[in-house]
Amino acid sequence: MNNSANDRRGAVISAGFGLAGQISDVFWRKPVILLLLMLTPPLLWLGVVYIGSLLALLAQSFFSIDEFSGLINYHLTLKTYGELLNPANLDIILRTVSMAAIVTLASVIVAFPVAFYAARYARGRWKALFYLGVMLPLWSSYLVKIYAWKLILAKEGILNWFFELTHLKWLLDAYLAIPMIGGNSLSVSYTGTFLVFLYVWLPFMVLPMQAALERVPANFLEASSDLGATPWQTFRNVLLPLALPGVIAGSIFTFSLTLGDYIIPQIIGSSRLFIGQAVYSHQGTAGNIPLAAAFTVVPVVIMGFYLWMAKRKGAFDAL
Amino acid sequence: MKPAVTFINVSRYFGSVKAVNQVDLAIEEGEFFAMLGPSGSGKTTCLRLIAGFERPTGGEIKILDEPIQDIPPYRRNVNTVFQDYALFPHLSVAENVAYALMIRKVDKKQRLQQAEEALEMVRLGGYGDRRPSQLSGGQRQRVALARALIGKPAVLLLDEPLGALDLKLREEMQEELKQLQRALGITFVFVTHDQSEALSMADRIAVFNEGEIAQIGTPQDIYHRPETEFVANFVGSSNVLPAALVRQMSGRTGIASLRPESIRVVAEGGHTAIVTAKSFLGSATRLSLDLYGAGLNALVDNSFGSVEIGAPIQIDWDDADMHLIEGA
Repeated sequence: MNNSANDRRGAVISAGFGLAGQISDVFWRKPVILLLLMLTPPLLWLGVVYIGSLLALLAQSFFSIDEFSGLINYHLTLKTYGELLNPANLDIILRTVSMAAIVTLASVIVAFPVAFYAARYARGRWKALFYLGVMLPLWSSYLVKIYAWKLILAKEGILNWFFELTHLKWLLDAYLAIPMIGGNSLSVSYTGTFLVFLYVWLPFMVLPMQAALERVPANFLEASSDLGATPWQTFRNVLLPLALPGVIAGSIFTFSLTLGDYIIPQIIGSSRLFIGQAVYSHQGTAGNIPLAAAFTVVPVVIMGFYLWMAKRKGAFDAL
Repeated sequence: MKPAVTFINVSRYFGSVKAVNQVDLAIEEGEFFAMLGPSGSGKTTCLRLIAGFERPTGGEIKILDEPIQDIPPYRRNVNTVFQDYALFPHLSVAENVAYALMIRKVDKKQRLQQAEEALEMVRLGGYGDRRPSQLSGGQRQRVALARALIGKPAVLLLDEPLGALDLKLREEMQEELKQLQRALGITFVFVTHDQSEALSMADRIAVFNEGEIAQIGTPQDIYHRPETEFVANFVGSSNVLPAALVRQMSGRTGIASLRPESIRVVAEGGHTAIVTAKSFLGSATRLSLDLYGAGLNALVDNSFGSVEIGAPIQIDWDDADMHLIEGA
């Protein structure tokens, strides 16, 4: 009798799995413990190391530098922010923000067809090929890619050679003669900087866009077309609003990455400074940490404003 | 009267799969037409061909005598109620309903007013400001209906419109759809795999099987006079009797169908059958019988008393109910 009761017990509850099994049992009964165990390390990292250093940076920007001794004056002041507004520094900020905006806009336009194709039509092997094609550039060194572009864009470079070969050199020259966007060669023009930014950040736009487009059911597009909308109207009224969270996510990447980058404009482009370069030189050779910090705050504020605007415009309503 | 939709030898192949194979069809104006068939039988593809989401591999499709196979969906005066409704989640209910008017650039005030009228027609007046996600399944279905009807289409297509609703709601909607169709006089073409839905709602039914139409006719035709074994089986799960059994049962030659409810249990003087299974359905009892070595389903009322599985009973039927499918 007793024996059979034991048998029954074994039929209901399977035997333990040793220590690991007992730990699992504890986690199952008290899920909070597992949650705390998993969240504490990343939260410490984010909270202390990441947010902490950002706050330290913010604090630095409210200090100022003594112009004679070059020492940092630890009294809170807005003097450093005032310096941001002098014409030379304002120029840097405007240049960087315009570049980031144009790069973002161009990424949206270039990425959309690619993302759309991948989300709607590519299946199986083609989809794998798409991911490979988009990600492959991310696998190689950033510097190598930029120098490769320098060779492509330089006066002695491939592009120049190609234009000569096709007897279209006059077209390139005419383009380079345009003030602002032109220059001696593409590799020392804003156009060159723009092209390389566009190339380097494009995957960061394509991937979130593709993910967003993939979530739009095909029959939404059919329904729109069924109700009389031309493909363009369907794009405007259904596809774009529903894909907007993905577009915004991508634009956060391309916009903020362009705002902060200091290597691309240094290697390719006119020698005029971008925010990243200004930060680099102020915290390094110039030793003006407060101004460098103030410069760093600019992209943070711009991104904050950008997200707030996007939210107000309803960009995240479809989430 | 000219037909609302005409198919002339229409085919749609996907690679080697013949989703729709040489179909001829004429749907009359103002008709409530059902396309009935199991999944993969080509009925939904036919609907999508009318809407323009698919293009035929061959043949000709006409709507009100206009050839339309080269006309894109957005230029066809045909609207669809989708199976899962496909309401736009980023628009309010009123904006969804007014979508076709917005596309046609009807001024905002007027189109919202028309949307409200359309919503009242489906008994959802005052719901315009909500989001589709805030509605129940049945309400979404009505919104989809209002959205499709607001443009006054020549033909309204419904793709398994009641599939996602529970039984009670479905019966309610069946009645409502029928009333709406009668009131508006618009041709309704609806696709379903549910034979009772097709029988109760449609003026005429096309039964699809493997990309072809097995039979077109009124519900009575389809139910009582199936022309093929497939139709007899699929609609009302009739007994399809092999020729040998038909000869023993009635002396006639050929394959025949016999509805389960046409069989009755008698006290004596019938044919002796063995009960192999029984299930109580409430208003009736379903019996599986063995008659002359062949299986037979019977749906009998509960007045016959009790039977045991394995016991013999006497059964009978009217020879008129036994419908010859193919003469031998």
